Amino acid sequence: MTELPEMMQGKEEPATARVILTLSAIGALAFVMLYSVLFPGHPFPGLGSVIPLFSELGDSVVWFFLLGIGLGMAMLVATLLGETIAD
Amino acid sequence: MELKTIFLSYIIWLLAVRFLASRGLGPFSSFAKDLTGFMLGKGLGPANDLIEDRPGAGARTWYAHGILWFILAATLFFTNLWTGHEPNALYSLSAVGYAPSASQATAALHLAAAFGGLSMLLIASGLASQAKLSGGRLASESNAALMAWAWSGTVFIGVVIAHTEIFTSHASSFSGSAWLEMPPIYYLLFTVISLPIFFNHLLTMSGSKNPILVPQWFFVMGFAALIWTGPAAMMLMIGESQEVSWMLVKVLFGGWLLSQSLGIAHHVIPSAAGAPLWSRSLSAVALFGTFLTFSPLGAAVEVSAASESLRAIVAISLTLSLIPIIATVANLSVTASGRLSKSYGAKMTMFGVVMLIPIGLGSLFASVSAFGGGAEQAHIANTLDTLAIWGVFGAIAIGGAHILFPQTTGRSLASRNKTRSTYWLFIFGVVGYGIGQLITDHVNAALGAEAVVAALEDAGVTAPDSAVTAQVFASVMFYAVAMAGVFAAQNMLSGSLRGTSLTDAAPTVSSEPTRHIVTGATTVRNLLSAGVGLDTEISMEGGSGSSGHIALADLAAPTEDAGDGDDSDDSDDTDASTDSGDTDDTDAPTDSDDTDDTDDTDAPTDSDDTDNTDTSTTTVTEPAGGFGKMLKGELVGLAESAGLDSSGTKADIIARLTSA
Repeated sequence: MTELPEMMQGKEEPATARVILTLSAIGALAFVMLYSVLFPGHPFPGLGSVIPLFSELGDSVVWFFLLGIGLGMAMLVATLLGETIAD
Repeated sequence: MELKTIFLSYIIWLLAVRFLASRGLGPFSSFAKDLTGFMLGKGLGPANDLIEDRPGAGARTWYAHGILWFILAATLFFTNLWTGHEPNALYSLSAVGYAPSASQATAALHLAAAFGGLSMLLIASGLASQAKLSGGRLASESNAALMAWAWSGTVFIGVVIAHTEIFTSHASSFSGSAWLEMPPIYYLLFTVISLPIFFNHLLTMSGSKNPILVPQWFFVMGFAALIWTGPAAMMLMIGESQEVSWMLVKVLFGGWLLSQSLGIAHHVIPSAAGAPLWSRSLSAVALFGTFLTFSPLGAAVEVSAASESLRAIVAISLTLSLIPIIATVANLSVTASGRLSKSYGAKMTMFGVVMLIPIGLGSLFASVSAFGGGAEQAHIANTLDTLAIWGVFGAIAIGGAHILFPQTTGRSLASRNKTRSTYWLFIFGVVGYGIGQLITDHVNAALGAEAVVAALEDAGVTAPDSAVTAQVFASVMFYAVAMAGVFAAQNMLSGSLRGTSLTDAAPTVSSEPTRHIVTGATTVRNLLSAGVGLDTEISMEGGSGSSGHIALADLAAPTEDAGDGDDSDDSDDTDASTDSGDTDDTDAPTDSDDTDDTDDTDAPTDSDDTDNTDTSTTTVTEPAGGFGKMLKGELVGLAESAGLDSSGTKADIIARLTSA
C-alpha cells in the first residue's frame, strides 16, 4: 500500500502568482499611509533616510516609486541595447 | 465668436469630409490621388528616404513613441498627484532646475497624456487597423513614420515650453482652458502634422478593393475633427472666448480621442472574438452620434455665463451623446460576450469601453452644470476627466496595442505573463485611483463648504486632513498604471525583437494518421476533428454492424443504404455539432497576444473544443510512432476503450489493434 506523504510542495509556478505578488506589493505600499496614522508626526522614512547616497533627494516616499519607474525604464534601455548587440 | 457659429462650422466641415470621402472628387479624383500620393512620398524630397517604405513601418514608429510618452505621462501624473498632498516632495529637483509651478506641471502632463501617449498610441492602432482592413499596408508607410517623429517632437517642445517663462507669461496674459493651456498657435502644429496622416488614411482607403468599414470612418472623421481644432483655436487669438475653449475641449475629448478609441474598439473586439459586429445600425449610430453631439467627457472646462436657450441646447446635445455611448457598449458587449476569455488585449479594450458608461454619466452631470450653471460638480470634474483619459482612452489604447502591434512587427508579444500583468495592473490602478480620488474630492468639498468652514471656525476647531490619506492611496494606486505602461513597453520591445513569428505561430496541418479505428457509429465531423485525412485507413470494429477498411475519400460516394433508420440516433449529435457556441471557439485563437504564449498551460486544449466528441463512439488513432512505442498499460487501456480483448502480451494487443 502506497503511503501518501504528509504534504506535498508543488514545483509549478502559476503565471497568476506573479500578478498577485505585484498587486499585493503595490497594495501594501498603498497602505503605508497607515504609518502616519499610527505614528502621527513621524513621517515614513524616505529614500534619503534609508540610503545616505540619496540624502539630497529629501525624505519623501515618492522617490521609492520614482526609483521603480526608473528601474523599469533602465530595463527597457538594457533590453534594447542587449538585443541590438546580440543581433 | 458665438458657440452656435463655431459648432456649425465644425458640423459643415465634418459633413463635407464625409461626403467627399465617400463620393470622391468626380473627374478630379484620379488627379487628386496622384498628387496626394506624390506629396506624401517623393514630394518630401530627401526626408522621404530617411525611413524605409515597408509595411507596418508607420504604425510601428507611432507605437514606439506612443508607449514612451505613455510612461512619461503616467509618471508626470503620478508626481502631480503626489505633490497634491506633499507639495515639497520633489523640491530637491530644483537643484537641477526642475521646479514647475502647479499650472506648469498640469499643462505639461495634459500635453504629454492627451497629445503624447494617448494620441500617439491611438493613431498607431488606427494606422495598423487601416492597413489591415485595406489589404496590408498604408499608401505611404514612410510618410506615416516620418510624421510620428514630427508629432513626438512637437509634443516634446510643448512639454519643455510648459515648464518655461513663455508659458507663464502666456498664462498671465490669456487664461487658457482646461486641457488646452498652451498658446493657441501651438495647436495649429498638430493640424499641420495631421494633414498628411489624414490624406494617408484616405489614400489607403481609396486604393483598397475592400468595402469601407465603421472603424475606418471613425479614424478618418476623427482626424477631420482634429484638423478643425487648429484653425478653431486661432479664434481664441481674436479674443478670449470661454465658449470656443469649451467647444475645443469637447472636440478634443469626443471628436478626437473618443472617436479614435471607438474605431479601434470596433476593430479589435470583433477581430478578437472571431465574430461579426452584432448590430450594423448600432455601429452607425455610434459613428454619427459621436461627431454630431457634444461629448460629456472633458467635464472640467467651464463656461461661467450663457443664455437660457444656449444652455438648453447644450444640455440636450450633451444628453443625446449618451446614445452613441450606450450603442457602442451594447454592440461591443454582445459581440464579445463569452468570446474573449483568452485575449487580455481585447479584455483591456472591453474594460475601456464598459467604463464609458459610469464615466460618461458622471461627466454628463458635471458638464451640464459647468455650462453656464453653478458648476456644482466641479470638485469631481478633474477626476472624471482623468478617469476618461486613463480608464477609457488609456485602456483602449493599451488594449489595442496588445492586439495590433504584433501585426505591424510580424512577431507576437514576448510574454503572455507580462500581458496579464499589464492588464491587472492597469485595471487595479485605474479603479483604485478612481475610488481614492473620488473619496478625496467629496471629503474636501464637504469640509470646504462655506457653512462647514464657518461652523468649524465658530467652534474653534481645525478641519481634519482626513482626505490626505485617501489621496495618498489614490496616488499609489495610480502608480500601477505607470508600471503597466512599463510592462507593456517591455513586452512590445522584446516581442518585436524576439517574439514568435506570426507566420510560424499560425496553425499548421498536422500529418494525418495512417490508420484510424472506429467502434460503433460516428460522423464525418468526428472523424475530421480526430485528424483523419482523405488517405487515412478507417477500421470499423464491433458494434458497427460491419467491419473492414475504408478511406474517407470513399465516403464521398453515396451508398444505397444511406438514410436508413439506423441514423435516427445521430440527431442529437448533429445538433450538438452545429451549436454556434462550439463553432465560435474555432475562430477565437487568432489573436496575436494569444499566440505569443510560450508558458501558458491552458491554451491548447480548451474543454469547449471537445464538446463535439460523441461519447457513444470510441475511436482509436494510431500514434505517429506506431503502437510499438506505447507502454503495455497504455495499449491495454487503448484496447479496452476500443472494445477489444486486452489480454495477452504486448505484441498480441498490437496485433489486435492493427488487424481488422
